[in-house]
Amino acid sequence: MTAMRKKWIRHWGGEVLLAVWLPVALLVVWWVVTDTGASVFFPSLRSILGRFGTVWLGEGFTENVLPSMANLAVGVLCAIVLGIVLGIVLAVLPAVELVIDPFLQFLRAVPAVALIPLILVIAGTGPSGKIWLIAFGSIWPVLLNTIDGVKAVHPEVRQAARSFRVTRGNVFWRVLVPGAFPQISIGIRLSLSIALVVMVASELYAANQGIGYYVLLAQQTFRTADMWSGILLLGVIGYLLTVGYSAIEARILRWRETPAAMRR
Amino acid sequence: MKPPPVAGRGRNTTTSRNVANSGVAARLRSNPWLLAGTRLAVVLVLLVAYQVFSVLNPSRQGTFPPLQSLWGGIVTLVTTPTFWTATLYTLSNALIGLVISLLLGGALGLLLSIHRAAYGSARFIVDFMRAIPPLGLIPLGLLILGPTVEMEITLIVIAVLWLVLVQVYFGVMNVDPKLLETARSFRIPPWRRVLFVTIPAISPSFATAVRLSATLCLLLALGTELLAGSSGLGSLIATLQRSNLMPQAYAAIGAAALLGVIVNGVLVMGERRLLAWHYRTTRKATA
Repeated sequence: MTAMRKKWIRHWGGEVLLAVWLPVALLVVWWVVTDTGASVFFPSLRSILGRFGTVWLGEGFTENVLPSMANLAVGVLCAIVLGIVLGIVLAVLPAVELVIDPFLQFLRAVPAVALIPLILVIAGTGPSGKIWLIAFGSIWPVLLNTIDGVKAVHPEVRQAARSFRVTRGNVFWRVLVPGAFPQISIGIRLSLSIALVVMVASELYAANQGIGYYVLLAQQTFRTADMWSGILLLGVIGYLLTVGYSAIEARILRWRETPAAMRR
Repeated sequence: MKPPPVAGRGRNTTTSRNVANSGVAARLRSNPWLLAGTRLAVVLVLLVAYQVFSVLNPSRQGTFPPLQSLWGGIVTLVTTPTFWTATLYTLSNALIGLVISLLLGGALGLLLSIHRAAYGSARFIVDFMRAIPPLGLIPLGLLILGPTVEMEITLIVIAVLWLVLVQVYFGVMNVDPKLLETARSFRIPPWRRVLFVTIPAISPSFATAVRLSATLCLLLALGTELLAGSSGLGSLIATLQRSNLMPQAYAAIGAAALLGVIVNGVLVMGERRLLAWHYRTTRKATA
Protein backbone atom coordinates (compact mmCIF):
# COMPACT_ATOMS: atom_id res chain seq x y z
CA MET A 1 0.00 0.00 0.00
CA THR A 2 2.65 2.48 1.05
CA ALA A 3 4.94 1.23 -1.67
CA MET A 4 2.21 1.85 -4.21
CA ARG A 5 1.65 5.29 -2.85
CA LYS A 6 5.34 6.08 -3.04
CA LYS A 7 5.44 4.87 -6.62
CA TRP A 8 2.39 6.98 -7.38
CA ILE A 9 4.01 10.07 -5.88
CA ARG A 10 7.25 9.43 -7.72
CA HIS A 11 5.39 8.95 -11.00
CA TRP A 12 3.15 11.98 -10.69
CA GLY A 13 5.93 14.02 -9.11
CA GLY A 14 7.96 13.33 -12.25
CA GLU A 15 5.04 14.28 -14.49
CA VAL A 16 4.50 17.57 -12.65
CA LEU A 17 8.19 18.38 -12.68
CA LEU A 18 8.34 17.66 -16.42
CA ALA A 19 5.34 19.87 -17.11
CA VAL A 20 6.56 22.74 -14.97
CA TRP A 21 10.29 23.14 -15.48
CA LEU A 22 10.21 24.83 -18.89
CA PRO A 23 7.49 27.42 -18.13
CA VAL A 24 9.24 28.28 -14.85
CA ALA A 25 12.60 28.56 -16.59
CA LEU A 26 11.13 30.86 -19.25
CA LEU A 27 9.49 33.05 -16.62
CA VAL A 28 12.79 33.33 -14.75
CA VAL A 29 14.61 34.26 -17.96
CA TRP A 30 11.90 36.83 -18.80
CA TRP A 31 12.13 38.26 -15.29
CA VAL A 32 15.94 38.52 -15.25
CA VAL A 33 16.36 39.85 -18.80
CA THR A 34 13.69 42.56 -18.54
CA ASP A 35 14.62 43.49 -14.97
CA THR A 36 18.12 44.49 -16.01
CA GLY A 37 17.43 45.97 -19.43
CA ALA A 38 13.77 46.96 -19.67
CA SER A 39 12.67 48.96 -22.73
CA VAL A 40 9.50 50.85 -23.49
CA PHE A 41 8.16 47.96 -25.56
CA PHE A 42 9.22 45.25 -23.13
CA PRO A 43 8.73 46.49 -19.57
CA SER A 44 10.05 44.38 -16.70
CA LEU A 45 7.99 41.39 -15.66
CA ARG A 46 8.08 42.81 -12.11
CA SER A 47 6.19 45.92 -13.21
CA ILE A 48 3.78 43.90 -15.41
CA LEU A 49 2.81 41.68 -12.49
CA GLY A 50 2.60 44.71 -10.20
CA ARG A 51 0.26 46.49 -12.60
CA PHE A 52 -1.74 43.27 -13.03
CA GLY A 53 -2.82 43.48 -9.39
CA THR A 54 -3.78 47.15 -9.47
CA VAL A 55 -5.34 47.24 -12.94
CA TRP A 56 -7.33 44.02 -13.05
CA LEU A 57 -8.01 42.87 -9.51
CA GLY A 58 -9.08 46.11 -7.86
CA GLU A 59 -11.40 48.71 -9.34
CA GLY A 60 -10.70 47.53 -12.87
CA PHE A 61 -12.32 44.21 -12.10
CA THR A 62 -15.82 45.65 -11.91
CA GLU A 63 -15.08 48.29 -14.53
CA ASN A 64 -13.53 46.22 -17.30
CA VAL A 65 -13.31 42.52 -16.45
CA LEU A 66 -16.88 41.95 -15.29
CA PRO A 67 -18.64 43.52 -18.33
CA SER A 68 -16.46 41.48 -20.69
CA MET A 69 -17.07 38.26 -18.82
CA ALA A 70 -20.81 38.94 -18.61
CA ASN A 71 -21.04 39.47 -22.39
CA LEU A 72 -19.03 36.32 -22.96
CA ALA A 73 -21.14 34.23 -20.58
CA VAL A 74 -24.51 35.40 -21.89
CA GLY A 75 -23.43 35.13 -25.53
CA VAL A 76 -22.00 31.64 -25.14
CA LEU A 77 -24.96 30.37 -23.14
CA CYS A 78 -27.37 31.67 -25.80
CA ALA A 79 -25.27 29.98 -28.48
CA ILE A 80 -25.14 26.66 -26.62
CA VAL A 81 -28.85 26.50 -25.74
CA LEU A 82 -30.04 27.73 -29.15
CA GLY A 83 -27.52 25.55 -30.95
CA ILE A 84 -28.58 22.38 -29.15
CA VAL A 85 -32.34 23.03 -29.47
CA LEU A 86 -32.16 24.06 -33.13
CA GLY A 87 -29.74 21.24 -33.88
CA ILE A 88 -32.08 18.61 -32.48
CA VAL A 89 -35.10 20.09 -34.25
CA LEU A 90 -33.22 20.06 -37.56
CA ALA A 91 -31.91 16.55 -36.97
CA VAL A 92 -35.40 15.13 -36.49
CA LEU A 93 -36.78 17.07 -39.50
CA PRO A 94 -34.50 15.85 -42.30
CA ALA A 95 -36.45 17.63 -45.05
CA VAL A 96 -35.99 21.04 -43.42
CA GLU A 97 -32.36 20.31 -42.71
CA LEU A 98 -31.78 19.33 -46.32
CA VAL A 99 -33.30 22.56 -47.62
CA ILE A 100 -31.50 24.98 -45.30
CA ASP A 101 -28.13 23.18 -45.13
CA PRO A 102 -26.42 25.47 -47.70
CA PHE A 103 -27.60 28.53 -45.76
CA LEU A 104 -26.15 27.10 -42.55
CA GLN A 105 -22.87 26.32 -44.30
CA PHE A 106 -22.75 29.85 -45.68
CA LEU A 107 -23.49 31.50 -42.34
CA ARG A 108 -20.93 29.32 -40.63
CA ALA A 109 -18.27 30.41 -43.10
CA VAL A 110 -19.00 34.10 -42.48
CA PRO A 111 -16.08 35.51 -40.47
CA ALA A 112 -17.91 36.90 -37.43
CA VAL A 113 -15.33 39.62 -37.01
CA ALA A 114 -16.30 41.15 -40.35
CA LEU A 115 -19.79 41.72 -38.95
CA ILE A 116 -18.59 44.01 -36.15
CA PRO A 117 -19.28 47.23 -38.11
CA LEU A 118 -22.72 45.91 -39.09
CA ILE A 119 -23.67 45.08 -35.49
CA LEU A 120 -22.33 48.46 -34.40
CA VAL A 121 -24.67 50.22 -36.81
CA ILE A 122 -27.68 48.08 -35.88
CA ALA A 123 -27.28 47.74 -32.11
CA GLY A 124 -24.89 50.52 -31.11
CA THR A 125 -21.86 50.23 -28.82
CA GLY A 126 -23.77 48.74 -25.86
CA PRO A 127 -23.48 45.18 -24.58
CA SER A 128 -26.48 43.81 -26.53
CA GLY A 129 -24.72 44.07 -29.89
CA LYS A 130 -21.61 42.38 -28.52
CA ILE A 131 -23.73 39.57 -27.04
CA TRP A 132 -25.50 39.05 -30.39
CA LEU A 133 -22.18 38.93 -32.16
CA ILE A 134 -20.65 36.46 -29.69
CA ALA A 135 -23.74 34.25 -29.96
CA PHE A 136 -23.72 34.45 -33.77
CA GLY A 137 -20.03 33.64 -34.02
CA SER A 138 -20.08 30.71 -31.63
CA ILE A 139 -23.40 29.00 -32.41
CA TRP A 140 -22.23 27.14 -35.54
CA PRO A 141 -19.95 24.51 -34.01
CA VAL A 142 -22.65 23.64 -31.45
CA LEU A 143 -25.45 23.58 -34.03
CA LEU A 144 -23.65 21.53 -36.67
CA ASN A 145 -22.18 19.09 -34.16
CA THR A 146 -25.60 18.64 -32.56
CA ILE A 147 -27.16 17.80 -35.93
CA ASP A 148 -24.44 15.23 -36.63
CA GLY A 149 -24.51 13.88 -33.09
CA VAL A 150 -28.28 13.38 -33.01
CA LYS A 151 -28.25 11.74 -36.44
CA ALA A 152 -25.59 9.37 -35.14
CA VAL A 153 -27.75 8.25 -32.20
CA HIS A 154 -28.55 4.71 -33.20
CA PRO A 155 -32.09 4.43 -34.66
CA GLU A 156 -32.68 1.34 -32.53
CA VAL A 157 -32.21 3.43 -29.41
CA ARG A 158 -34.90 5.82 -30.61
CA GLN A 159 -37.20 2.99 -31.60
CA ALA A 160 -36.70 1.37 -28.20
CA ALA A 161 -37.65 4.64 -26.51
CA ARG A 162 -40.72 4.84 -28.73
CA SER A 163 -41.83 1.30 -28.04
CA PHE A 164 -41.59 2.05 -24.33
CA ARG A 165 -43.88 5.03 -25.04
CA VAL A 166 -41.39 7.53 -23.70
CA THR A 167 -42.90 10.99 -24.14
CA ARG A 168 -41.46 13.35 -26.72
CA GLY A 169 -40.01 15.67 -24.10
CA ASN A 170 -38.29 12.78 -22.40
CA VAL A 171 -36.95 11.46 -25.70
CA PHE A 172 -35.52 14.92 -26.30
CA TRP A 173 -33.83 15.43 -22.94
CA ARG A 174 -33.12 11.86 -21.81
CA VAL A 175 -32.27 10.12 -25.10
CA LEU A 176 -31.21 12.53 -27.82
CA VAL A 177 -29.24 15.11 -25.81
CA PRO A 178 -27.22 12.59 -23.75
CA GLY A 179 -26.70 10.36 -26.77
CA ALA A 180 -25.38 13.21 -28.86
CA PHE A 181 -23.54 14.97 -26.06
CA PRO A 182 -20.03 13.62 -26.73
CA GLN A 183 -20.24 15.20 -30.18
CA ILE A 184 -22.05 18.33 -28.95
CA SER A 185 -19.26 18.75 -26.44
CA ILE A 186 -16.66 19.01 -29.20
CA GLY A 187 -18.75 21.84 -30.63
CA ILE A 188 -19.03 23.61 -27.29
CA ARG A 189 -15.27 23.46 -26.83
CA LEU A 190 -14.73 25.08 -30.25
CA SER A 191 -17.40 27.69 -29.66
CA LEU A 192 -15.84 28.75 -26.35
CA SER A 193 -12.59 29.72 -28.04
CA ILE A 194 -14.41 31.45 -30.90
CA ALA A 195 -16.53 33.37 -28.40
CA LEU A 196 -13.46 34.64 -26.58
CA VAL A 197 -11.93 35.89 -29.85
CA VAL A 198 -15.16 37.60 -30.88
CA MET A 199 -15.51 39.17 -27.43
CA VAL A 200 -12.03 40.71 -27.58
CA ALA A 201 -12.49 41.80 -31.20
CA SER A 202 -15.80 43.49 -30.42
CA GLU A 203 -14.06 45.49 -27.71
CA LEU A 204 -11.30 46.67 -30.02
CA TYR A 205 -13.65 48.40 -32.48
CA ALA A 206 -15.47 51.49 -31.26
CA ALA A 207 -16.02 50.25 -27.71
CA ASN A 208 -16.03 52.12 -24.42
CA GLN A 209 -15.40 49.39 -21.86
CA GLY A 210 -14.07 45.88 -21.49
CA ILE A 211 -10.70 44.16 -21.37
CA GLY A 212 -9.96 44.65 -25.07
CA TYR A 213 -10.86 48.33 -24.87
CA TYR A 214 -8.58 48.84 -21.87
CA VAL A 215 -5.66 47.01 -23.50
CA LEU A 216 -5.97 49.10 -26.66
CA LEU A 217 -6.24 52.32 -24.64
CA ALA A 218 -3.15 51.37 -22.64
CA GLN A 219 -1.25 50.80 -25.89
CA GLN A 220 -2.35 54.11 -27.37
CA THR A 221 -1.26 55.98 -24.24
CA PHE A 222 2.04 54.04 -24.01
CA ARG A 223 1.25 52.43 -20.67
CA THR A 224 2.96 49.28 -21.91
CA ALA A 225 3.06 47.46 -18.56
CA ASP A 226 -0.74 47.82 -18.37
CA MET A 227 -1.03 46.52 -21.93
CA TRP A 228 1.15 43.48 -21.24
CA SER A 229 -0.78 42.74 -18.07
CA GLY A 230 -4.01 42.81 -20.09
CA ILE A 231 -2.65 40.34 -22.63
CA LEU A 232 -1.55 38.13 -19.73
CA LEU A 233 -5.07 38.33 -18.34
CA LEU A 234 -6.57 37.29 -21.69
CA GLY A 235 -4.25 34.30 -21.76
CA VAL A 236 -5.21 33.34 -18.21
CA ILE A 237 -8.93 33.64 -19.01
CA GLY A 238 -8.55 31.57 -22.16
CA TYR A 239 -6.55 28.91 -20.32
CA LEU A 240 -9.01 28.73 -17.43
CA LEU A 241 -11.91 28.43 -19.89
CA THR A 242 -10.27 25.47 -21.62
CA VAL A 243 -9.27 23.73 -18.40
CA GLY A 244 -12.57 24.53 -16.70
CA TYR A 245 -14.60 23.20 -19.58
CA SER A 246 -12.53 20.01 -19.69
CA ALA A 247 -13.37 19.45 -16.02
CA ILE A 248 -17.09 20.07 -16.61
CA GLU A 249 -17.06 17.82 -19.67
CA ALA A 250 -15.33 15.01 -17.81
CA ARG A 251 -17.99 15.24 -15.09
CA ILE A 252 -20.93 15.27 -17.49
CA LEU A 253 -19.54 12.41 -19.52
CA ARG A 254 -18.57 10.30 -16.49
CA TRP A 255 -21.06 7.63 -17.58
CA ARG A 256 -19.13 6.87 -20.74
CA GLU A 257 -16.71 3.97 -20.88
CA THR A 258 -13.91 5.99 -22.44
CA PRO A 259 -13.50 9.20 -20.46
CA ALA A 260 -13.74 12.34 -22.56
CA ALA A 261 -10.40 13.50 -21.24
CA MET A 262 -8.74 10.72 -23.19
CA ARG A 263 -10.13 11.93 -26.50
CA ARG A 264 -8.87 14.86 -28.43
CA MET B 1 -55.05 -14.21 -35.00
CA LYS B 2 -54.84 -10.48 -34.83
CA PRO B 3 -51.81 -8.96 -33.12
CA PRO B 4 -52.48 -7.15 -29.84
CA PRO B 5 -54.09 -3.85 -30.82
CA VAL B 6 -51.90 -1.58 -28.71
CA ALA B 7 -48.60 -2.81 -30.05
CA GLY B 8 -49.94 -2.87 -33.60
CA ARG B 9 -51.18 0.68 -33.45
CA GLY B 10 -47.97 1.90 -31.93
CA ARG B 11 -45.85 0.31 -34.61
CA ASN B 12 -48.08 1.51 -37.41
CA THR B 13 -48.08 5.14 -36.30
CA THR B 14 -44.32 5.22 -35.86
CA THR B 15 -43.60 3.67 -39.24
CA SER B 16 -46.11 5.83 -41.04
CA ARG B 17 -44.68 8.93 -39.37
CA ASN B 18 -41.16 7.88 -40.28
CA VAL B 19 -42.18 7.32 -43.86
CA ALA B 20 -43.97 10.65 -44.06
CA ASN B 21 -41.02 12.41 -42.52
CA SER B 22 -38.31 10.83 -44.60
CA GLY B 23 -40.64 10.75 -47.61
CA VAL B 24 -40.32 14.48 -48.18
CA ALA B 25 -36.59 14.35 -47.55
CA ALA B 26 -36.18 11.40 -49.88
CA ARG B 27 -38.19 13.09 -52.61
CA LEU B 28 -36.08 16.25 -52.25
CA ARG B 29 -32.88 14.24 -52.27
CA SER B 30 -33.81 12.25 -55.35
CA ASN B 31 -34.90 15.32 -57.32
CA PRO B 32 -32.16 17.97 -57.45
CA TRP B 33 -34.43 20.40 -59.34
CA LEU B 34 -37.07 20.25 -56.64
CA LEU B 35 -34.42 20.75 -53.97
CA ALA B 36 -32.88 23.72 -55.78
CA GLY B 37 -36.35 25.16 -56.35
CA THR B 38 -37.23 24.89 -52.66
CA ARG B 39 -33.98 26.54 -51.68
CA LEU B 40 -34.56 29.30 -54.22
CA ALA B 41 -38.05 29.80 -52.82
CA VAL B 42 -36.60 30.20 -49.32
CA VAL B 43 -34.17 32.84 -50.62
CA LEU B 44 -36.98 34.69 -52.42
CA VAL B 45 -39.22 34.68 -49.34
CA LEU B 46 -36.37 36.07 -47.21
CA LEU B 47 -35.58 38.77 -49.77
CA VAL B 48 -39.22 39.81 -50.07
CA ALA B 49 -39.59 39.90 -46.28
CA TYR B 50 -36.48 42.08 -46.01
CA GLN B 51 -37.67 44.43 -48.74
CA VAL B 52 -41.10 44.82 -47.10
CA PHE B 53 -39.43 45.53 -43.75
CA SER B 54 -37.12 48.10 -45.31
CA VAL B 55 -39.87 49.88 -47.26
CA LEU B 56 -42.18 49.98 -44.24
CA ASN B 57 -39.46 51.52 -42.02
CA PRO B 58 -38.15 54.48 -44.01
CA SER B 59 -36.54 55.93 -40.86
CA ARG B 60 -34.30 52.85 -40.54
CA GLN B 61 -33.29 52.68 -44.20
CA GLY B 62 -29.82 53.93 -43.24
CA THR B 63 -29.28 50.63 -41.42
CA PHE B 64 -31.52 48.43 -43.54
CA PRO B 65 -31.32 49.89 -47.05
CA PRO B 66 -33.86 48.60 -49.59
CA LEU B 67 -32.71 45.98 -52.08
CA GLN B 68 -32.26 48.40 -54.98
CA SER B 69 -29.72 50.51 -53.07
CA LEU B 70 -27.98 47.36 -51.79
CA TRP B 71 -27.68 46.23 -55.40
CA GLY B 72 -26.29 49.65 -56.25
CA GLY B 73 -23.71 49.21 -53.49
CA ILE B 74 -22.68 45.83 -54.85
CA VAL B 75 -22.28 47.21 -58.38
CA THR B 76 -20.26 50.22 -57.19
CA LEU B 77 -18.03 48.01 -55.09
CA VAL B 78 -17.18 45.40 -57.73
CA THR B 79 -16.44 48.10 -60.28
CA THR B 80 -13.93 49.90 -58.06
CA PRO B 81 -10.36 48.59 -58.46
CA THR B 82 -9.65 49.34 -54.76
CA PHE B 83 -11.97 46.51 -53.81
CA TRP B 84 -10.07 43.99 -55.89
CA THR B 85 -6.64 45.08 -54.67
CA ALA B 86 -7.92 45.00 -51.08
CA THR B 87 -9.25 41.46 -51.57
CA LEU B 88 -5.95 40.43 -53.12
CA TYR B 89 -4.04 41.87 -50.13
CA THR B 90 -6.24 39.98 -47.68
CA LEU B 91 -5.89 36.71 -49.55
CA SER B 92 -2.13 36.97 -50.03
CA ASN B 93 -1.53 37.93 -46.39
CA ALA B 94 -3.66 35.03 -45.21
CA LEU B 95 -1.85 32.68 -47.60
CA ILE B 96 1.65 33.82 -46.55
CA GLY B 97 0.64 33.48 -42.91
CA LEU B 98 -0.76 30.01 -43.61
CA VAL B 99 2.38 28.77 -45.36
CA ILE B 100 4.70 30.05 -42.63
CA SER B 101 2.49 28.58 -39.89
CA LEU B 102 2.30 25.21 -41.63
CA LEU B 103 6.08 25.01 -42.07
CA LEU B 104 6.92 26.25 -38.58
CA GLY B 105 4.14 24.39 -36.79
CA GLY B 106 4.76 21.20 -38.73
CA ALA B 107 8.49 21.28 -37.97
CA LEU B 108 7.90 22.00 -34.27
CA GLY B 109 5.25 19.28 -34.06
CA LEU B 110 7.64 16.71 -35.58
CA LEU B 111 10.40 17.90 -33.23
CA LEU B 112 8.22 17.53 -30.13
CA SER B 113 7.17 14.03 -31.18
CA ILE B 114 10.75 12.75 -31.02
CA HIS B 115 10.65 12.18 -27.27
CA ARG B 116 7.88 11.97 -24.71
CA ALA B 117 9.71 14.42 -22.46
CA ALA B 118 9.83 17.08 -25.19
CA TYR B 119 6.06 17.40 -25.47
CA GLY B 120 5.62 17.00 -21.73
CA SER B 121 7.87 20.00 -21.13
CA ALA B 122 6.35 22.19 -23.83
CA ARG B 123 2.75 21.25 -23.14
CA PHE B 124 1.85 24.04 -20.76
CA ILE B 125 3.38 26.69 -23.02
CA VAL B 126 1.58 25.32 -26.09
CA ASP B 127 -1.74 25.19 -24.24
CA PHE B 128 -1.31 28.68 -22.83
CA MET B 129 -0.32 30.22 -26.15
CA ARG B 130 -3.25 28.50 -27.82
CA ALA B 131 -5.58 29.93 -25.21
CA ILE B 132 -4.67 33.59 -25.83
CA PRO B 133 -7.39 35.06 -28.09
CA PRO B 134 -5.26 36.00 -31.13
CA LEU B 135 -6.93 39.32 -31.90
CA GLY B 136 -6.14 40.37 -28.33
CA LEU B 137 -2.52 40.61 -29.45
CA ILE B 138 -3.39 43.45 -31.85
CA PRO B 139 -2.40 46.20 -29.40
CA LEU B 140 0.98 44.53 -28.90
CA GLY B 141 1.45 44.19 -32.66
CA LEU B 142 0.48 47.81 -33.20
CA LEU B 143 2.95 48.92 -30.54
CA ILE B 144 5.93 47.03 -31.94
CA LEU B 145 5.30 46.86 -35.70
CA GLY B 146 2.51 49.38 -36.38
CA PRO B 147 -0.40 48.78 -38.79
CA THR B 148 1.72 46.98 -41.40
CA VAL B 149 1.65 43.82 -43.48
CA GLU B 150 4.45 42.41 -41.31
CA MET B 151 2.32 42.90 -38.22
CA GLU B 152 -0.67 41.18 -39.80
CA ILE B 153 1.35 38.16 -40.92
CA THR B 154 3.20 37.91 -37.59
CA LEU B 155 -0.10 37.94 -35.74
CA ILE B 156 -1.53 35.23 -38.00
CA VAL B 157 1.53 33.02 -37.55
CA ILE B 158 1.61 33.44 -33.75
CA ALA B 159 -2.04 32.42 -33.59
CA VAL B 160 -2.16 29.58 -36.12
CA LEU B 161 1.21 27.94 -35.41
CA TRP B 162 -0.04 26.11 -32.29
CA LEU B 163 -3.01 24.56 -34.02
CA VAL B 164 -0.74 23.04 -36.68
CA LEU B 165 1.77 21.94 -34.06
CA VAL B 166 -0.85 20.07 -32.03
CA GLN B 167 -2.42 18.43 -35.10
CA VAL B 168 0.96 17.22 -36.40
CA TYR B 169 2.09 16.04 -32.96
CA PHE B 170 -1.04 13.98 -32.35
CA GLY B 171 -0.92 12.77 -35.95
CA VAL B 172 2.55 11.33 -35.33
CA MET B 173 1.48 9.87 -31.99
CA ASN B 174 -1.44 8.10 -33.66
CA VAL B 175 0.58 6.45 -36.43
CA ASP B 176 -0.12 2.73 -36.25
CA PRO B 177 2.99 1.23 -34.55
CA LYS B 178 2.62 -1.85 -36.75
CA LEU B 179 3.51 0.25 -39.79
CA LEU B 180 6.70 1.48 -38.17
CA GLU B 181 7.58 -1.99 -36.89
CA THR B 182 7.08 -3.45 -40.34
CA ALA B 183 9.29 -0.78 -41.85
CA ARG B 184 11.92 -1.41 -39.18
CA SER B 185 11.87 -5.15 -39.69
CA PHE B 186 12.45 -4.62 -43.39
CA ARG B 187 15.48 -2.54 -42.36
CA ILE B 188 14.20 0.52 -44.13
CA PRO B 189 16.55 3.38 -43.14
CA PRO B 190 15.15 6.02 -40.74
CA TRP B 191 14.92 8.86 -43.24
CA ARG B 192 12.95 6.69 -45.63
CA ARG B 193 10.77 5.57 -42.75
CA VAL B 194 9.87 9.20 -42.04
CA LEU B 195 9.39 9.98 -45.72
CA PHE B 196 7.38 6.94 -46.76
CA VAL B 197 5.64 5.82 -43.57
CA THR B 198 5.25 8.65 -41.06
CA ILE B 199 4.48 11.49 -43.46
CA PRO B 200 1.82 9.62 -45.51
CA ALA B 201 0.33 8.32 -42.25
CA ILE B 202 -0.02 11.80 -40.75
CA SER B 203 -1.24 13.45 -43.96
CA PRO B 204 -4.97 13.10 -43.08
CA SER B 205 -4.48 14.90 -39.79
CA PHE B 206 -2.22 17.43 -41.52
CA ALA B 207 -4.98 18.05 -44.07
CA THR B 208 -7.37 18.76 -41.21
CA ALA B 209 -4.80 21.20 -39.85
CA VAL B 210 -4.57 22.92 -43.25
CA ARG B 211 -8.34 23.26 -43.53
CA LEU B 212 -8.86 24.55 -39.99
CA SER B 213 -5.92 26.92 -40.08
CA ALA B 214 -6.76 28.33 -43.52
CA THR B 215 -10.17 29.44 -42.26
CA LEU B 216 -8.54 30.85 -39.15
CA CYS B 217 -5.89 32.68 -41.23
CA LEU B 218 -8.57 34.38 -43.29
CA LEU B 219 -10.52 35.36 -40.18
CA LEU B 220 -7.40 36.78 -38.56
CA ALA B 221 -6.36 38.64 -41.70
CA LEU B 222 -9.79 40.27 -41.95
CA GLY B 223 -9.89 40.94 -38.21
CA THR B 224 -6.45 42.52 -38.08
CA GLU B 225 -7.26 44.74 -41.04
CA LEU B 226 -10.57 45.79 -39.56
CA LEU B 227 -9.30 46.42 -36.05
CA ALA B 228 -5.71 47.54 -36.64
CA GLY B 229 -6.09 49.14 -40.06
CA SER B 230 -3.48 47.26 -42.09
CA SER B 231 -4.62 47.46 -45.70
CA GLY B 232 -7.01 44.86 -47.07
CA LEU B 233 -10.68 43.98 -47.27
CA GLY B 234 -11.11 44.39 -43.50
CA SER B 235 -9.90 47.97 -43.45
CA LEU B 236 -12.00 48.70 -46.57
CA ILE B 237 -15.09 47.60 -44.60
CA ALA B 238 -14.09 49.89 -41.73
CA THR B 239 -13.51 52.84 -44.06
CA LEU B 240 -16.83 52.37 -45.86
CA GLN B 241 -18.71 52.08 -42.58
CA ARG B 242 -17.03 55.17 -41.10
CA SER B 243 -17.87 57.21 -44.21
CA ASN B 244 -21.44 55.96 -43.79
CA LEU B 245 -21.62 54.27 -47.21
CA MET B 246 -23.71 51.47 -45.76
CA PRO B 247 -24.81 49.65 -48.97
CA GLN B 248 -21.18 49.41 -50.08
CA ALA B 249 -20.07 48.40 -46.59
CA TYR B 250 -22.67 45.62 -46.58
CA ALA B 251 -21.51 44.51 -50.00
CA ALA B 252 -17.92 44.38 -48.72
CA ILE B 253 -19.01 42.37 -45.66
CA GLY B 254 -20.84 40.02 -48.02
CA ALA B 255 -17.68 39.70 -50.10
CA ALA B 256 -15.71 38.79 -46.96
CA ALA B 257 -18.31 36.15 -46.13
CA LEU B 258 -18.18 34.81 -49.69
CA LEU B 259 -14.39 34.64 -49.46
CA GLY B 260 -14.74 32.49 -46.35
CA VAL B 261 -17.19 30.17 -48.10
CA ILE B 262 -15.01 29.85 -51.20
CA VAL B 263 -11.79 29.15 -49.26
CA ASN B 264 -13.58 26.52 -47.19
CA GLY B 265 -15.14 24.91 -50.26
CA VAL B 266 -11.87 24.77 -52.18
CA LEU B 267 -10.07 23.19 -49.23
CA VAL B 268 -12.74 20.56 -48.60
CA MET B 269 -12.65 19.63 -52.28
CA GLY B 270 -8.86 19.53 -52.39
CA GLU B 271 -8.75 17.39 -49.26
CA ARG B 272 -11.21 14.91 -50.73
CA ARG B 273 -9.25 14.64 -53.93
CA LEU B 274 -5.74 14.42 -52.46
CA LEU B 275 -6.75 12.03 -49.71
CA ALA B 276 -9.08 9.86 -51.78
CA TRP B 277 -6.81 6.89 -51.03
CA HIS B 278 -7.26 7.47 -47.30
CA TYR B 279 -11.04 7.67 -47.44
CA ARG B 280 -11.13 4.57 -49.65
CA THR B 281 -9.05 2.48 -47.27
CA THR B 282 -10.84 3.67 -44.14
CA ARG B 283 -14.25 3.03 -45.70
CA LYS B 284 -13.14 -0.47 -46.64
CA ALA B 285 -11.94 -1.02 -43.10
CA THR B 286 -15.24 0.00 -41.53
CA ALA B 287 -17.44 -1.77 -44.07
